[in-house]
Amino acid sequence: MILRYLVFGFFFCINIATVFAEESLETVLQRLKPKQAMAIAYHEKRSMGFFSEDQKSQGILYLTPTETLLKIQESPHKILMGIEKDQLYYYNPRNKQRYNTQIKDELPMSASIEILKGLMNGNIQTLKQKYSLNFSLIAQIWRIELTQKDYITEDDLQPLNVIMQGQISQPAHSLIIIEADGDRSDYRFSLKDQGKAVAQTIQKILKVLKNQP
Amino acid sequence: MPKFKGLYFFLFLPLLCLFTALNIHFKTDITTFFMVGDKAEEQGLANEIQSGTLSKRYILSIGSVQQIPDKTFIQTLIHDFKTIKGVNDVWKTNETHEIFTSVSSVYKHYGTQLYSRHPQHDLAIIFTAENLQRRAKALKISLLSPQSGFIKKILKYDPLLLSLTGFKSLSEQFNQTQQQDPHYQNLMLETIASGMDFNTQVMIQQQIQTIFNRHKKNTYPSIILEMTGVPVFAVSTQQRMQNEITLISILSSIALTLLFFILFRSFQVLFWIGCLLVMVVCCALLMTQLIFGFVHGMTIAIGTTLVGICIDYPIHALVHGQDSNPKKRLTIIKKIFPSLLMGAITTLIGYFALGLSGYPGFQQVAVYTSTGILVSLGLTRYLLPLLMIGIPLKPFQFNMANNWLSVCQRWRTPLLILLILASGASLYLLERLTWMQDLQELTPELNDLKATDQKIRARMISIEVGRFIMVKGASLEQVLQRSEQVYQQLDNLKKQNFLSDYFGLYPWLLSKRQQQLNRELFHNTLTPEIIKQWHVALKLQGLSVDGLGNLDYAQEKNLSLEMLLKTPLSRLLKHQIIQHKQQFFLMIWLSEHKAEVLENLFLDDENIHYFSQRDMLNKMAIKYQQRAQMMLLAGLVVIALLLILRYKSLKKALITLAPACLSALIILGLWALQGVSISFLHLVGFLLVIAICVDYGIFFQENRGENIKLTYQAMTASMLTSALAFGCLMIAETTTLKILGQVVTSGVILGFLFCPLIIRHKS
Repeated sequence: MILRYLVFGFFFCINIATVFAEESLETVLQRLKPKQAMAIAYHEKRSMGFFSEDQKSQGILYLTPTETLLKIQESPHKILMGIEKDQLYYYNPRNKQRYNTQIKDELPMSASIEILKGLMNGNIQTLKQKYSLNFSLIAQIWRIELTQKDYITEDDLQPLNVIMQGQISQPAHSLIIIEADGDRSDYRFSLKDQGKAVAQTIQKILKVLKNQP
Repeated sequence: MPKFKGLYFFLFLPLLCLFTALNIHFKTDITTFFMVGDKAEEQGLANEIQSGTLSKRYILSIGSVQQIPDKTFIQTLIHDFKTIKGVNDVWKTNETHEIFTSVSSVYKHYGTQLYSRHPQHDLAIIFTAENLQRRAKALKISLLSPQSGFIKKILKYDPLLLSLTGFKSLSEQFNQTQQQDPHYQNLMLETIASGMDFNTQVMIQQQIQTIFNRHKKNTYPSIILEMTGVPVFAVSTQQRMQNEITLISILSSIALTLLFFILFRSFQVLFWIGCLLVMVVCCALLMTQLIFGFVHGMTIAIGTTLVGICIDYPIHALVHGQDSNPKKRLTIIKKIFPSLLMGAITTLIGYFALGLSGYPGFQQVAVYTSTGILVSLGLTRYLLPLLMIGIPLKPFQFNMANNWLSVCQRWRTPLLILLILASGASLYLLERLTWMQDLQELTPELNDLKATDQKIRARMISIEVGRFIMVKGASLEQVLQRSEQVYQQLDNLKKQNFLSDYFGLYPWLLSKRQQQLNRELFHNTLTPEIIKQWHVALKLQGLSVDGLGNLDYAQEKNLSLEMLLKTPLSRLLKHQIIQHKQQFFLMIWLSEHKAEVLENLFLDDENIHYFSQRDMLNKMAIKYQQRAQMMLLAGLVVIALLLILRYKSLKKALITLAPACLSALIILGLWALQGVSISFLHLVGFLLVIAICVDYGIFFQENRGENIKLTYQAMTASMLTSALAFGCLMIAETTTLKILGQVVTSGVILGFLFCPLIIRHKS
């Protein structure tokens, strides 16, 4: 779950306008970090083995240049989630459930999160240790695919696979995450707002998540 | 011919020294000297502190009020600390990553075994239609939350998430008891060797500090590293002890040599007496090694006083023989020997009683000193006359001693009245005497370490580390079953607000019997109707009946401690179980609680004990104090009986004993006046005072050289050596040594001064 948001945030921040055919993956990764606070609307569809039907939701994703990432699910009901530094915050207003924990403690995604956080910093060497990377441009669509190298555990069926794509010169419009157990998440997103007002909103949401007055 | 015998001795001595050096195994581990317990659980705990998991762990606290250490810095430190030779593992005390991993990988298979401690009651709730629906709803929320990865791993085997039931309360406990100060990161470092392995632990501590200093150098100037744990206390104590042993040994050797040289002004005499003492020490060491299998450093520290006592016998022989023809010295020595023998026996009685006082280390001291005294006496009687043949002795005079004799003769009555008044006042003051009730007062030199320990622990957890419940059993299964009964009682105390929380082995483990019962009850209670209700609940939440509807729970095996100890959970659990001499002990940690309620609850149960380390030490202090009182009394009675037997006169025996007893009484009175609280160690000191001072009484009473001035001169020399040897202990930082030094030094001086005053002599 966290992985999805991180990957989502990471890919969305790539300014596709600067991606040209001659560009390599390395140069794309250099432009990873968002330059200012951003609010991105998203639609999510999850196909999970333990559910009899697909789970759909929508909301707003907030990103900052300091790697803070918030995901506010608006429907089917409100759920707030955030990652700041190495802490994960969760708050479900419906049942008043809240917790915060170190990201490393969130399993089984911790390893991927560590790598993807490194990726957001442009640390491609760390990324290449665990993921095979594929960057392509086909018919006006750019596409980045990450495939986990080692995935053999008793319950895993396949390697973790992440695919991000979008129109050339446009921000990323979709993200697909296929987890090791076969569960799949599809995201569609569009830029909603950016700038100081978004940064202020992020601070307010963080206070709610941290249960601060 | 006698000279040849002397040569044999000269040749034999180096061989004996070599043999001793090769065969002695030294120990400086302080707990083997002081830790003792009469009960199996006390011994088990002592053993755990000496060599168990608890003894191998350091808590390292890194941080400062001004600067917070960042994650990378801490990770680098953890990585580098792990590379130190002898370090088994290093982890953050608030680390939950591996606990989560283990819970999802291990416990998912044992849902029906570990879901409850009250299966009948809990199953009745779990299997209601309403609860099943609530469970399905919670499942859906979890699957869509950040925890989904963790939950999905378990669901395949445990669709009802039964295995997490116990962990729910554990998670609440964890959050409540963790008091992580954000300015500090606490690490746990576990070594392979015992905390008492001095050399290894010193090396590890040095390397920890070096690594820390290397990394903090420029980036984190204000961040500090603080350490606590059994190895820190052990290394500090042993380091101080080793320094003190060396210092005391050197100082007392120099002081005694100088004194001896001033007395006899002869290098030859000094050499031969020195050789005799070396032989005495070698024999004492070998005997201690033979009986105990090792010689403790503290034995040597306290045993250095042995030199001061053992030298008395040759001194008496030399003083009495100083005016005689060298060839007649043997006759003189034979003549005074009965007094020396009697003195030695009374001293032996004192040390024998010391051995029975309670501290295991004092048994060693008793054996060490008794051997030394016997060997010294034997050598004085049989070897010294041979060595001294042909060596001229220069007579010596202590004018002060002669003057004191004259003063006592002239002013006997007023001085006696003064002594009686002082003794009466002391008796009166005895009422005010306070007893030291807390053994911790005997180790004020550790106060800094104790303060650091409290500071570090306050930064991490609210568990009272020194208080816990100890459950005993002949097997692990028995201990687990008993502890399950204890959990029940502790739950009741929680409801009554006598206990805020406790940490046993549940939810990590239940007894096989309880696991079996849980499983059987689960399957017996699960009906097709309940399964149907579960399926309905799943469908209502849009969950897959194919994926989550199967409640077969096929795993039949029970979870065992061995299996858990192979996982990272062993970090959390292995120090809670102690095995000692075919007995198993389980420690249940407690957070805030009413001590007296818990103590009373398990008062009548011999297998369950509320354990308070501080209370245990204080009870031990009282026990030692009572035992020391008994031993002091018994020692006195035996010595008195011996004197009565020898002199066939109660009066004479009591008079001989009086200088020793009155010196002890007056010292006690002075302490009562000053408000000094006394411990069993003071009593042990008095025991030695009496054992040594009775010698003076005997020598003075018997006056076998038939020259009271000469006898008192010899007594002066022997008092000075004893006072010097014990006086050297007063420079020690270790309070126990200091107390012994103070008591015995002042006691022997007073006892010596009282002899001519109390024991009237015809001449």
